[in-house]
Amino acid sequence: MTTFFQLVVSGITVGSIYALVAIGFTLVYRASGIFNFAQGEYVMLGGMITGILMTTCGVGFVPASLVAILVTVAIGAISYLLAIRPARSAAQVHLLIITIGISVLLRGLTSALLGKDFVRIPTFVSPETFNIGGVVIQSQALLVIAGAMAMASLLWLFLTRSFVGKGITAVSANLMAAKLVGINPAAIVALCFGISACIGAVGGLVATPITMTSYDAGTMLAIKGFSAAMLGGISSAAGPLVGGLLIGLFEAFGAGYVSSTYKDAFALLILLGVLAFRPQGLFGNRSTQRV
Amino acid sequence: MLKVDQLASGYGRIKALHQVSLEVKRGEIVALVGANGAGKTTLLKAIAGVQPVAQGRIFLDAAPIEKLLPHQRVKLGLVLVPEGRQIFAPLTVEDNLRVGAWTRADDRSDGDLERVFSYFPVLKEFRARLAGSLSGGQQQMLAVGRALMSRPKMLLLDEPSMGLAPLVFKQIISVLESIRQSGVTIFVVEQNVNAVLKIVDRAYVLEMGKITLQGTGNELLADTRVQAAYLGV
Ligand SMILES: Nc1ncnc2c1ncn2[C@@H]1O[C@H](COP(=O)(O)OP(=O)(O)O)[C@@H](O)[C@H]1O
Ligand SMILES: [Mg+2]
Repeated sequence: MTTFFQLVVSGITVGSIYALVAIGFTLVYRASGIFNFAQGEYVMLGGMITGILMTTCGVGFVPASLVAILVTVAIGAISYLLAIRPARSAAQVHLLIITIGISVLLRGLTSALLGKDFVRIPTFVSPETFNIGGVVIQSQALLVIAGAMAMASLLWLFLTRSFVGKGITAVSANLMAAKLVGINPAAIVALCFGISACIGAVGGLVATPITMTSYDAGTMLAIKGFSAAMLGGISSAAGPLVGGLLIGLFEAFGAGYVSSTYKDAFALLILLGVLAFRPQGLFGNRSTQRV
Repeated sequence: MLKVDQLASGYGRIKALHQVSLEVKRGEIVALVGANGAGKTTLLKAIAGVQPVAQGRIFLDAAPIEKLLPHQRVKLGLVLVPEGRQIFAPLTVEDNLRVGAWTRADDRSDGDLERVFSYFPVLKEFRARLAGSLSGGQQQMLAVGRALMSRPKMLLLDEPSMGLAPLVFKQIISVLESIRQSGVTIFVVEQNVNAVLKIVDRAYVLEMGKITLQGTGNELLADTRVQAAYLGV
């Protein structure tokens, strides 16, 4: 039973990160129809930049993480405006390939500029672990979960309550009508890329004290986050969050009870299952599509 | 106010508009009539900037606008109420209207909201409902109201009567007349030719992508070709 709860805790912890990647995927997709496969790199950049600034430059955690978030947000928005926006009339699959190109480029630049070594961020909470009935919980894990939930709630509040958030909903719901009320869709989509980069970077900097990170960590995160988004459903607000947690749990149980060798295969298995049997996802509704 | 000069547009190899020229003067209400597939929607979308233009020029207050993006044209006061309403279904009625004031979000839109509610009281009653749950007629009122929120100088309307009960249509027509009285220039596409020719200053007839007739509302009502083709006389 202890093992079971231990797996639940670690499943929810990694699942929170997958959920953040999935939320980024759906936000950008709903506003632009693009699956942005550079999504995982934002998480990696958040962790890498914070870690390098702290360990090699001796910068404190707060300023280091602020720099990491700002740089990642700028990369997210600029890569859209420079590389994706100019090709907007291309077919969706071409845009997807451009985002994969951006992710390869970001990986290459990171390894060249920040190195290929694993980077860690010192845990910023104490005590490092505590014990509830034999289940060992890292305090940092709770921070990851709380951070992910906070980001998801803030985004939801922003989208449903703020004027700009309503503009994002308008662009997602009806692109032509949004142009006709005077919204500049390029600005909205760039904003969504920036927000998704911000969410990813925050996920990276809270998770890296547990997971460590390296220049190539984004690829798997993109696959897991994409699987989570598909599992939960692109069209609903709760979908990517629940999808991320489920993938995390599935993976933790798979690794714990079956074999950790195939850990990364479980998400792909779910992805294939979803695409084959329930392409709209758990919470999705079949008729929802972009106009 | 609006001048379209030798405009051509289409969809891939299909040419939908051939050298269309027309003019709407400040303060006028002008109609565009024509059969299904004549190119009316294509023309309005091209003027609003959501349909690519192959050739020709569009002027608003003598300034060329054919290169501007749609949202830039809205900023200049040129607003289209598109065919089929195109409201934002997942937003509430009030949020649809407030988003309509996007280009001037810096100042408060409460006054404009009240004005729209005075034209269409039902929108006030349903302000908290999701727009997708409204009836067709209410959605059309919402689409017109949303366009008014940006304080347009020139309003383009594409078949505001489509699928509406006669009573709702009358209400929309009377709102158009009040809007015109408040100084907004109107260019309206209408299938209900008889009703619309009675209220407009002038009208153009579009057939297969070409302007074939033009005149005052009464001239066209009396024209035997118009009577045969559109009035069922
Ligand atoms: N999205 C489209 N793709 C291809 N052809 C189109 C499209 N929309 C309209 N057309 C064609 O362009 C012509 C003009 O259509 P439209 O402007 O919608 O006419 P109207 O509004 O007068 O009914 C028609 O022949 C129609 O079939
Ligand atoms: Mg039409």
